Amino acid sequence: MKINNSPRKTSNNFNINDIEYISNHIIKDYNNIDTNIKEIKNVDNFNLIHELEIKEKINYQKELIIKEKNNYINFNLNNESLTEKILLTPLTNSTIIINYSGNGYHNGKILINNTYKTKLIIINRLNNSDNLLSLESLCQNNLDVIFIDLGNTKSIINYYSKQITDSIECSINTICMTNKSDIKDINYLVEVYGKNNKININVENTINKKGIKHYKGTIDFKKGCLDSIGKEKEHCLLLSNDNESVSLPMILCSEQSITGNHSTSQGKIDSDKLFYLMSRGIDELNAKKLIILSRFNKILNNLEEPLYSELLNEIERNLK
Amino acid sequence: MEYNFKNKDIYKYQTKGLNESIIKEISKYKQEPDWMLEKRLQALEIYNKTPLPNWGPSLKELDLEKIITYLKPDNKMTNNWEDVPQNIKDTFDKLGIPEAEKKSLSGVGAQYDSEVVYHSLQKELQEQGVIYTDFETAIKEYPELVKKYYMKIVPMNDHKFAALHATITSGGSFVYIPENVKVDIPLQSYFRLNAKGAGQFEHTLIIVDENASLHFIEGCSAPKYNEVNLHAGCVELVVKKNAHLRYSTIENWSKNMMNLNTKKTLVEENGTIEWVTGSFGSKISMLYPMSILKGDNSKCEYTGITFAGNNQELDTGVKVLHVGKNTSSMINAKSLSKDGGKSIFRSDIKIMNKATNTKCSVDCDSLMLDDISISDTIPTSEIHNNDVEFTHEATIGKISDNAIFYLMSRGISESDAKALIVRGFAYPISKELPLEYAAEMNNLINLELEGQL
Repeated sequence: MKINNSPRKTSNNFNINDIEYISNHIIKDYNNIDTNIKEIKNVDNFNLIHELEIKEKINYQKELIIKEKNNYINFNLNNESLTEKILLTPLTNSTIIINYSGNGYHNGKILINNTYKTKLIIINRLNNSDNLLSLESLCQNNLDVIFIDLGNTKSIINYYSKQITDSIECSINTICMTNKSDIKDINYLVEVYGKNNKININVENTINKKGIKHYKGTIDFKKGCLDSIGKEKEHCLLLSNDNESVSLPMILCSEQSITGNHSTSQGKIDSDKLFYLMSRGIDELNAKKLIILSRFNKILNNLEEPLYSELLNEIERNLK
Repeated sequence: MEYNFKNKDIYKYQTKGLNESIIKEISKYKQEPDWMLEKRLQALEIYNKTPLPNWGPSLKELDLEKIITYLKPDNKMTNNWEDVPQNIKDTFDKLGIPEAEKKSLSGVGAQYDSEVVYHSLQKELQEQGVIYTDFETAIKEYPELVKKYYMKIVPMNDHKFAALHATITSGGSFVYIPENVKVDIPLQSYFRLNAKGAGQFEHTLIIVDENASLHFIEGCSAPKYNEVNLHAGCVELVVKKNAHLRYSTIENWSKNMMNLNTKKTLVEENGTIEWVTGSFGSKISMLYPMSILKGDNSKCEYTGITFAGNNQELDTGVKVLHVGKNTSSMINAKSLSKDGGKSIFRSDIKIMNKATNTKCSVDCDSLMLDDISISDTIPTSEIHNNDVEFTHEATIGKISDNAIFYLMSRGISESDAKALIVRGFAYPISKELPLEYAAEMNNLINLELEGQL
């Protein structure tokens, strides 16, 4: 089945219009959720507009009412399948951290309707697993989404954001490490409807040892989104000579009075920077780590302790 | 300059639609060698099996059964304008071709509907071994050279319209620049499609041999009708070791034209290809000149501008395939959209795993001149080794209010201020063209801004 479709098709030679995926996982019940959110309700079936269309039994379907400033939700898979469907309803300005770890199979759908300022951090630390995630946001206030993908996985991420209110600022920051034959397929689509909106997309990728990364990031300025500004930046460090990196950053525009720009850069670690650090007595491996971490830090600085240190350590282990 | 003038149709022979018997009839009429007919029939088979592309603009308006696929004017090709039928000569006079030939070109090819009506080349170049002739003559007089490259740079199965072209090709130019010959003054081919509901399927094959250089200019136009016209030409360029080729195009097809042209170049060691492109016409365009940087140290530069006006959907861009080591490509594209026009820019860059020390930069800027137009940027890159420096950037927006205010405060009217800014926006492309063509391009920009095209 072809999923994670690009909003505009391009030449089929690049194999980026979609990705082929077959799911034949056995889905049992799942109850191993660890969270500090107190109000969790049952919720009737709800649909996302742009979800990854793998139809499977949902084994965790809830509405989580966010009333605290800091919130976490941990899913730990112990050779299990998790097919959650979660509706996040923030009732205050808040930070929500969703963490996936362990190993198994994950196909999650998350919908957030934020009328308050929200920071949503999604961390993938799954090992030897398939990780599918459909995230959708109906933005009526500022929403900062941070994806941190450190897992050794086939990861297929689809994030659809609709900015409908005037004068809001949203961002998508991503750190994605693709190692040892991992496949990461990322598809962001932000539709800007409101006036005077801002959207900032910043993606930092590393690819190593036969990793495959496909990135599609689209900012779609719809008619009427006067004076909106959209910026997108993708940076990819290619750490070995046997990777595949495909990028498709798109700007679609039906409105004259906007400012849009995007950029992408790909290459190996700058040899001048490496030489400089090594000339100061730092060995090559640590010098490379420093350079990579300096790029990731712009995004990691959005996190608070102890999560910041935890992830920094995990990234360093990954880089070894 | 006026482009929308029509001549009465006076033809010796014509065919409509596409099937095996029509192909055989055309091939027999042209007195082609058997190998050429075989290629046509092979292409027809591929065309019938290949689906339309599932991306890009909708081509549902195109009905090939209604297209006049071959149309021969009542004359033979000549190298003397006085021998060209008066109505055709008047056409090219109005387009300024004979005048340009006298002032600034070393050779001219003029195609009217399906056939080349005029070809000339300066004597000095002929003496140096330069060949510049129509494609039909080349098939008969230089078969080995033609066979070596014909439909090899652009394979017939590349896509449906490459196959269509190979089935029904007629007219076009063949250029061969021998080793070490530098052609300092440009050669030009001009394609005029006069007939209503007709197609033009010219083939251009240019071979620039080792250490040689050439600037080739291609121009095209057609009058406007209410029926669809089709352009599915093919340009194959070979740039050999240490050679240099600049290929400039000012495309001004009428706004009932479907422009599905295919252009590709193969660049060998230390060779350089420069594309300079201005796309102003057509109702629908799918045009992506491609450079295959096969040889080590080969280079590509692309400078292009697209202006999509009322009722136009111009899906244009550039493709580069980096194969050899130490190759580089630099792409600078501009696009404008106005009066509901849709301008789509695509860059497709592929860097193969042995293409080490590759440098590639892509820059695309889009200006929207009103709030009813559309501008999309769809750049794709695929990289298979880590010894590369690849960057892409794109911007999109409207003309700066501050810039307009500044100019108006100096006494310039609003419309003149906008025109000045747009011409400045297009300047990086116009400065790459010879003066006469830069002037023509600026003229086309002015006409688009005034809504006269």
